[in-house]
Amino acid sequence: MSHTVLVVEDEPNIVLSLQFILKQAGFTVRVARDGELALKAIDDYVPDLVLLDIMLPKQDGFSVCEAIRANRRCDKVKIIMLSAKSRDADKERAMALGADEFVTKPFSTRELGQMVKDIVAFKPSVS
Amino acid sequence: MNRTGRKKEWSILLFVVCLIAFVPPVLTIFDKPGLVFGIPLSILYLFGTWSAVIIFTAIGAHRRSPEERTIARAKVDDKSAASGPQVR
Amino acid sequence: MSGGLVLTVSFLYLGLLFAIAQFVDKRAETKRPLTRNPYIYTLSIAVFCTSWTFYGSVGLAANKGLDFLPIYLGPTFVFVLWSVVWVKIIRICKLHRITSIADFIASRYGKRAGLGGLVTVIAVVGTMPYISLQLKSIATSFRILVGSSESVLLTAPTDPIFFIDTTLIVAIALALFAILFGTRHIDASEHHEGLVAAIAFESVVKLVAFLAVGFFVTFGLYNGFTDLFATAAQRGMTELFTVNADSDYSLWMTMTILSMAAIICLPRQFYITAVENPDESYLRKTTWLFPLYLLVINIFVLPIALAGRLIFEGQSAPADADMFMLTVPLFHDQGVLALVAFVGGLSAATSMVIVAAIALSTMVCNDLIMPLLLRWRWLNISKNDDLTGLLLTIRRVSILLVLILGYVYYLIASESYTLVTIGLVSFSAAAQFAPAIIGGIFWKGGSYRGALAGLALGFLVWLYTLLLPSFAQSGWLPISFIEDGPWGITLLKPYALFGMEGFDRLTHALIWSMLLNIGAYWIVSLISQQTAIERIQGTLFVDVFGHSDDEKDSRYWRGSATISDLQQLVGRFVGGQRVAEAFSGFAASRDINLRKSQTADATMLDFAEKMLAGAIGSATARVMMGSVVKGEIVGLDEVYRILDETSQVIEYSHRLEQKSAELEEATTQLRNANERLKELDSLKDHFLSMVSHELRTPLTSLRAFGEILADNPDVPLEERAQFLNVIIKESQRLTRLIDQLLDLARMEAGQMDWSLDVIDMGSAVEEALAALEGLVQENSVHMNINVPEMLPAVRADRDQLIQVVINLVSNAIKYCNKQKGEITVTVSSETDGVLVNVLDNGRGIPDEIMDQIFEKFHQSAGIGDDKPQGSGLGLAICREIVTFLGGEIWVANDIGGGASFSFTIPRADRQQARLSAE
Repeated sequence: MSHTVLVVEDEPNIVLSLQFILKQAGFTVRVARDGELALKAIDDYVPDLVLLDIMLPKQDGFSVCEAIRANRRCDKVKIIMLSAKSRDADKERAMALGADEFVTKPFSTRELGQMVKDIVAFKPSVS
Repeated sequence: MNRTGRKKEWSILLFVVCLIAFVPPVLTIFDKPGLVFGIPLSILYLFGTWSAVIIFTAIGAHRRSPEERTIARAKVDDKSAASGPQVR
Repeated sequence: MSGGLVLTVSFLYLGLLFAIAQFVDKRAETKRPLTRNPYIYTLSIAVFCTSWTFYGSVGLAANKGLDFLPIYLGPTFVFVLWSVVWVKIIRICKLHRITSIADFIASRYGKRAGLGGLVTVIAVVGTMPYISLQLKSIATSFRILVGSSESVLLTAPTDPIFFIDTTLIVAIALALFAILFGTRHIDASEHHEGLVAAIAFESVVKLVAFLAVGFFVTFGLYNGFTDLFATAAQRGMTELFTVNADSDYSLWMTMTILSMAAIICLPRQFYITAVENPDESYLRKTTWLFPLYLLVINIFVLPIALAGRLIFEGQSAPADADMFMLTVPLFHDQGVLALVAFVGGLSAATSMVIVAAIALSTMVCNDLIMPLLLRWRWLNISKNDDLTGLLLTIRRVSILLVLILGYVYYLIASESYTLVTIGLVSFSAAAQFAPAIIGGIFWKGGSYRGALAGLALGFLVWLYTLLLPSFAQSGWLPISFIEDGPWGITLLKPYALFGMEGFDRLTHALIWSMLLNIGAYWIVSLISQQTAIERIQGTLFVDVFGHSDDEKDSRYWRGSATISDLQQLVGRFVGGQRVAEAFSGFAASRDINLRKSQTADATMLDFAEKMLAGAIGSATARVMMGSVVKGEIVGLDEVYRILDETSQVIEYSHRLEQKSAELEEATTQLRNANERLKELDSLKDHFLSMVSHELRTPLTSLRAFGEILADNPDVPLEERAQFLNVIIKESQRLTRLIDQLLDLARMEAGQMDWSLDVIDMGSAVEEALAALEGLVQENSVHMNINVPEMLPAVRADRDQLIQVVINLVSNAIKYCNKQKGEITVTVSSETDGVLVNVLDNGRGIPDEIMDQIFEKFHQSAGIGDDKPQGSGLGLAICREIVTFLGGEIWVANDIGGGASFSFTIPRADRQQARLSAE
């Protein structure tokens, strides 16, 4: 059974590219266009990994991250945060909130693909 | 020394108005024997302006201003003067 | 009417007055005095209204029309200035325990007895005519009331009653009354509660009596004012309706000036207003209540005068208009009313005589007799006699003397004059004090010699131009004194001194006396040297509000005297019992023990001197203190230096306060500026982070698809085309963004190249819409376009204007209803310019972001489900452009729900002015 990745991103073209990369890597991809939809999706289904943009409509990435970490069903969910603002402060905040990785846009699809694979693969040992 | 309140300026303004209103040439304009409402114009003018001055003085004296505090303090001074001068 | 009845009523009235005074004084010993309220205080100041007002005003009005009014307008003007003049005078009197006007002037100019004596002499001589006026009015009114036959109404009988001259009896009776009244206490600076209450009562009586006669005349004899005035006008008395025009208003102005001076400088007014003032704050009410009293008492003056003229016009001999108050009621057989009027007149006269006599006797005793006794060493000051009895005797005798002098003047001069003429002579004398008083409280430079010279010259001129001629006219001096001048020297004619003619006597006297008085005061003050004590007193008087907090002159004495010395000294004048009480009270207030043998410190000495001054005046008190205090009265120059330094310190600390206030303000401004800077900094931060975000987002897509295409050569053709399309779109977006950023930056920095031209708004809007055609069709939005044919031309940059329309419409496309999009673009002509409105049918703009919608990058958050396409700079650019072109841009939510963006561009013919104004 393939792992599921939830892509939370409001920019349609970036979603398109992530979908392509992740599908190619063999993941099941689900998409949420904003923070609220992302939390709803998580209620439905616990993904293995969330690719979480910070600048989102309605509820920003930080609070989504916090909500996921507060949700006991999502103990094993990995979180990679994506940001177009490459500020150290943002990175620190993301890590403090429980993100596993922090990636600055524009990112290399190759590296991101590899990172996703690594993190999901390490999953057992982490838990 | 600290008595440059509005009260003083108001007083002086009113005083100047009095001086203008009650001497010629302004006075000569109204100093006419003709009857207005059965009363000589000169009397109406003099007593009317006089009343107005009294009313404005009353308003001016009524308004609260820093001066009032000075006067309130004067009462205290008065008492202390009665019981003798104070040493600094 | 029988003489017995009138006499009985008179004595009953005087008895009532005395009872009131006694009652109030008794009560004051135990409870809070009844007189301590502003109304009683006001009524006591109304002692200004004497027989002159009661009888004389009517007489004047009957002959000269409204000429009686300035006497009451002048005091009104002075009370208008209460906060400038009265508050200051009263404060000084309280602080220095001033007992009279002579004491005030003497104290101001260095506590020298000479000046106080001169003031006293002027005051006594000047008051003489005034008192004679009261005597005359009482005597005349008495005779009229008692005579009461037809002929009496016209000319009062002059034959003596009880074999003595009536006037002399009146004078002696009043003197006794004043003695009983005024000399019960020894400390003249203490409040005479009983006296004040009685005077206030008299003011009520005279007002009520006057109003009663006025009502009777106006509403009893005639049907109100209009009827009375109409009748008088018919009988040709209209000349009484106006100010007497003979003197070209110079008499009017002279009387105004004199009465202004008189309300301050008449010894009795000064005494009752300043010395007897119980509380400074009462002025607040008195300042308008007293003028109101004057106004009310004057309302019926002209009506009564007119009625009198109308009644007695037909008679053979001219009636005495001064007595209309009595003769009009008597003519109509109103005996009781006439008696009421008589009592009113009596109250007006007695109040003046009592207060004047008390004020003058204090002055005569403290400023004239005591210094003389001291000088001639009749008074052995080293002996420890009780001198209170002596003081009282002196005062009593001086009261009698003052009244006798008034009677003498009456005998010599007053029969041939009207009441007002006599009164004005007194006013002119009192006015001589004005320069020394007013100068003394506002000008530190006024010196002893200046005041002495001014007063002396003014007084001499007054004697020569007003008093002596009045003797001459009565036959006591040869009449050629007036007509040809003394020894036939015409330049010295008293009514035309040095050839000054064309003025009435009063104006003539005022001009000369004031010219010499003020001139001498001023010039001599400037050329003479002030002694240290003059400078000290000058500073203390002029800066009374600055020095009142701390009694700095307490360092006045540095010599030594024991407490018992002091107590004995003061006790001799004030009474041993009272001094003992006062001293122990003083000790208690300072929390110290007094031992008899102890050496008194400076504060104690000052206290003793002030207490002594309250009884015998400041000049005498100073000399007396000098007799006990061993060692020199300390270097006064040093005291002055200290005083001067303190003034400077006060001034300095005042400036310091100002500085610190300024500093505080600067700090606040700095803090605000700092806040603003921080705000700007965080705005800049926000802007940069937004720019970064907006640039990185398309870059992310570009890089991602670039890499995907590079890494996956086997992507299906269809997908490949889609990805390439994304790359193209995102590059365009990036380009647009960069263009907009640069535009905005240039606009904000003012470096934009504008090509301004006169253009047609309609065609610009149409061009913009044409450019958007594709986008419109792509989103299947319905466009409504209303562009009228004739639009005024506007002056603008055509490309930028098109940019604004494009931005607004493309925004509307983004936010309008997705299913059934509808956009309305309306162009209309306004008075000042052209208005363009773009309305969509979307959901409108949330209220909370309404304010910020034109800010950079404020587009995105929270609107709609989908992230809108755009940089968030469009509206910011619109605002920059419209503002630059002199227009306005705003947004509102339409009633139908959509957002409605509007902007205006000024018309070409109006805009020129505006641009150049910027």
